Amino acid sequence: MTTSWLTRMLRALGPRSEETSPESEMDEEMAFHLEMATRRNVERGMPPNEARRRALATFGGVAQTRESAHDGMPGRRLDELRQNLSYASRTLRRNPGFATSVVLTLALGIGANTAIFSVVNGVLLRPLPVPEADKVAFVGWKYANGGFTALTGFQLEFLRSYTQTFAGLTTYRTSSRELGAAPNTRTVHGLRVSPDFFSVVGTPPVLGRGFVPEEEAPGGPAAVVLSDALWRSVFAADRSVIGRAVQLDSTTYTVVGVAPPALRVPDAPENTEFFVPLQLRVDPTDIGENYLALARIKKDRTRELALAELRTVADAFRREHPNLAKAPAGYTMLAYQDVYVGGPLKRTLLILLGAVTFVLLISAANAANLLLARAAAREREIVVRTALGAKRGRIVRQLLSEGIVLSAISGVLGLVLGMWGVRAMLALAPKQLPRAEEIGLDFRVLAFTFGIVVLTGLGFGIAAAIPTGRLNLASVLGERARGSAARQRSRDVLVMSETAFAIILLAGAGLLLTSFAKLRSVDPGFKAENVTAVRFGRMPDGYSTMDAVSLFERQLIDRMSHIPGVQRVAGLPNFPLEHGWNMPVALAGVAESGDGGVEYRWVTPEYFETLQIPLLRGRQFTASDDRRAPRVAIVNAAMAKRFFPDGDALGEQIDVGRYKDHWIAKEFEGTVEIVGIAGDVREIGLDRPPRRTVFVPMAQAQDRMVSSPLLVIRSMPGTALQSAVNDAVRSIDPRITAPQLQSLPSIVGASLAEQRFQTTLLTLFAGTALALTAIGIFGVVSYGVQQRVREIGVRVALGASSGNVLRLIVGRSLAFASAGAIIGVLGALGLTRFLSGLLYGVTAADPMTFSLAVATLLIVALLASYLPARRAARTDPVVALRLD
Amino acid sequence: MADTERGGEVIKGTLDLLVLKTLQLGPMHGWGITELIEQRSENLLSVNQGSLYPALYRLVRQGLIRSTWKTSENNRRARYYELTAAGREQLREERAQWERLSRGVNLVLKTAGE
Repeated sequence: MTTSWLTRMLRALGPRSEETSPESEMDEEMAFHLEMATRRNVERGMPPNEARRRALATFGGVAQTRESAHDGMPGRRLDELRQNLSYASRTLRRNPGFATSVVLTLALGIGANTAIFSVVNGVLLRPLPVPEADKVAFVGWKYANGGFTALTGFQLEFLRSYTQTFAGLTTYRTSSRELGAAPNTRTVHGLRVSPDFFSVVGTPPVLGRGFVPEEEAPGGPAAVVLSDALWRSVFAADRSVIGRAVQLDSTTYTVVGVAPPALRVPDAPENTEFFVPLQLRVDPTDIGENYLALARIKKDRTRELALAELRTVADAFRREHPNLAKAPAGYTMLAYQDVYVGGPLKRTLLILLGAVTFVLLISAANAANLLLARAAAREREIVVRTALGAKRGRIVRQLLSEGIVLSAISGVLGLVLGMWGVRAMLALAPKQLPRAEEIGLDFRVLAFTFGIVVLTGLGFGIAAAIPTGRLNLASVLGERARGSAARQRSRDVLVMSETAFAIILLAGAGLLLTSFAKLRSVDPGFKAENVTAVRFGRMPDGYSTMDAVSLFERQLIDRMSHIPGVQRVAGLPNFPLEHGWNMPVALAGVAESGDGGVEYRWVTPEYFETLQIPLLRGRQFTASDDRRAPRVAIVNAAMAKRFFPDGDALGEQIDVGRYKDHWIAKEFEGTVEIVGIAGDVREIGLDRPPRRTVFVPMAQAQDRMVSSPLLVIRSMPGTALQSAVNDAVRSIDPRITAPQLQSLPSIVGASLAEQRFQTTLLTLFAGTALALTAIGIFGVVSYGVQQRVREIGVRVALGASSGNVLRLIVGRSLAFASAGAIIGVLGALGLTRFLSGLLYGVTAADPMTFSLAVATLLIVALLASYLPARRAARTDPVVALRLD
Repeated sequence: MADTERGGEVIKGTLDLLVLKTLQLGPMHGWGITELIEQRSENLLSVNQGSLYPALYRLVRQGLIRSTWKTSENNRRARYYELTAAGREQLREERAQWERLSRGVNLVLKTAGE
């Protein structure tokens, strides 16, 4: 007997060494006994061979004696376990085909679960990088129509002066600067932070200090806190860095502290490298600057108290500033984790976790089926062992051991598959997946995998062992084995549950696929094909006014228009489906709508033609709509309909009504005439209705709007643009860094990243489930046919046609698949409502999708049972009846 | 003597008593116990090794006997068993019990014979 690796491993782990184990002592004792008996027989005159034979005969089976002697020994259970495991691994190695199919099936299920759980663990379960995160919350503003928006500086200051339940109230904004002295600069990303930032986040600088009030006052000393990474890369982790100078955007900052490496806040760039003070803009009319307020609740106060206080303060705010807020608008609070991870993502992950659980159940059911089939093949062995006195419990434990060994091997393989799956998922995941860097193998993931390995092993071991445990000699010797009937029932139940689980996954995936297809086919209102987006980075000095940027864009558009293959070029403030600007607006004489503002876009005249947005009425902007010309605007259809439902918007004057003081509203000072009405564009999301939008000519826009230029180019398919664009830029101003080019369809595609992620994964799981179910049905029917060869032979002999046989077998399997499908549809109806928030243009109980899922499954079941049934239909009765 | 002439199996439950009694004579290995029981019973009793060793291990576990490895009379390593104090006590008890039992059984059998 060769010792298996498992036996060796178990021995190595065992408490005693080979030399002194009771087992080997027992062997020695037996050998001694045998030798003495042989010697006695020789003394009595027997030839040595005969003497030994006799001695052995009277001794009884050595193994049996050992085994029963063993029963009296302590640690017997452990030894039995060891034996079972080593026996299991030996028998499995003798059946590599069987072992491989089970292991692969299970590894698929375990791998998928490990992968999804790793992501859930990293994103949801790992402690947040903030001490006592349950005391930290985001405070925002909620409008009458719900939602959560950031606070204005004025609202934040008001909150600061009137609350007592918070230990600290801070805010931060992202910022990027050029680090170092020209020309050797590089762009670094960081945060502008408000007082208390470090104490609210709960991670004080590890070196030096946070900011003091005078550093936060306008014109105060320029101070910077370095990130751990920057401290290490630039200052080689020098502990005497405090007080040294750092150049940021050609201003000299004094290093006052070094932040801990763990510091992370939502929306901050992953590679946050510096922190500088943020001066809050406190202006009652300033609605444009938004601050996300982060608060830490005092140790002895609860969230409920904080919420109650926020309501009181909101009342006070409305009383003092009735023109700025009307009930029920007011302060509101969101848990830190919910902002950090986001409700929709959390829901997506939990849905995926649920989905992979079904995949695991299906693969465990398949594994149980395989084990059952093999138990049937070993019926003889088991019955003989039972007849020879092996206890039923021992045999059941033996089957369980096989289950455990199989699932342990699958677990190892599954872990590998899972880690690979995590990498694949991260590649697929939306870029903004928070905490992606925390996803990986840790003790929690290992414990989870270990847990499902043990549960799966026990589960399918028990499923296989129960009907086998009922076996007895009489039933097997009798022609119709009751054990195999019990097993057939178990198999049918397993097939039914597989079918049910598969239907649930198919329905879920079908719904997501349908809504994804609908999203893809939504008309966004513009034509993205053959459009290239051009994105400039930070602009050099001299481009801080709208006129300068506008002039540069004008020149660039002229030059680029002459590139061969280019049809149209336009400047715009943001690409479709990326964030844009909006402003509150209420037009004079029009009833207050109270449902938010309008999107505000400044564009060059070619904008509408480049994106092929239809102009419904009026005219486009022209080059002559500049600062000297009368002010004009184009509104979209949604805006025209909202504010001028009865009449014609064309020729009307835009009046910003009560928001006159708002800085954006200054755009509309005096008279702004509506000269055109454009078609609606789904600009903030393909799944969101078009927003009301106002367009103004870039040449008439204000300096407050200045940002790095963005352009769109419509060109002939296959036009190479990058080098021609670079040349054009260089010919205007060689100091400007070459822009980044990206196709507009890829930006549109990126806006669907989250939907694509969910849909791809769920479809992948559903496909796996379908394949596993097909394998399961195929296996069960093949086995059932093999068991019923005699019966089929008799039927054929009695005149059944092969069609009859085919119908008999396929019918039976379809009956069980249909029963499973019904259960599955009921389950799916209950479960798909969790998907409803993710769906677009399709209801969670879409009859079409459900029918398609059922049809797919039944066709697969039909095929999977047809193949073995056809073989059975060809049974030669003579051969079949001669069997056995 | 041929093995076929060997005596009957030791009655279940009495093996422990026989082993303890045999060990009262002194430490002995398993083979020696078998031989001695057969000799003493004038071959009326034979000990099945399949029962002897489990019984020995059980008695060891119960603390009635203990075992040590020694060199046998023919220079082989062998496991010797010997009585413990508890074993001696147990032997007294079981012996008294056995005598009561066998007297009772004999009395009944005699009555039945008449």
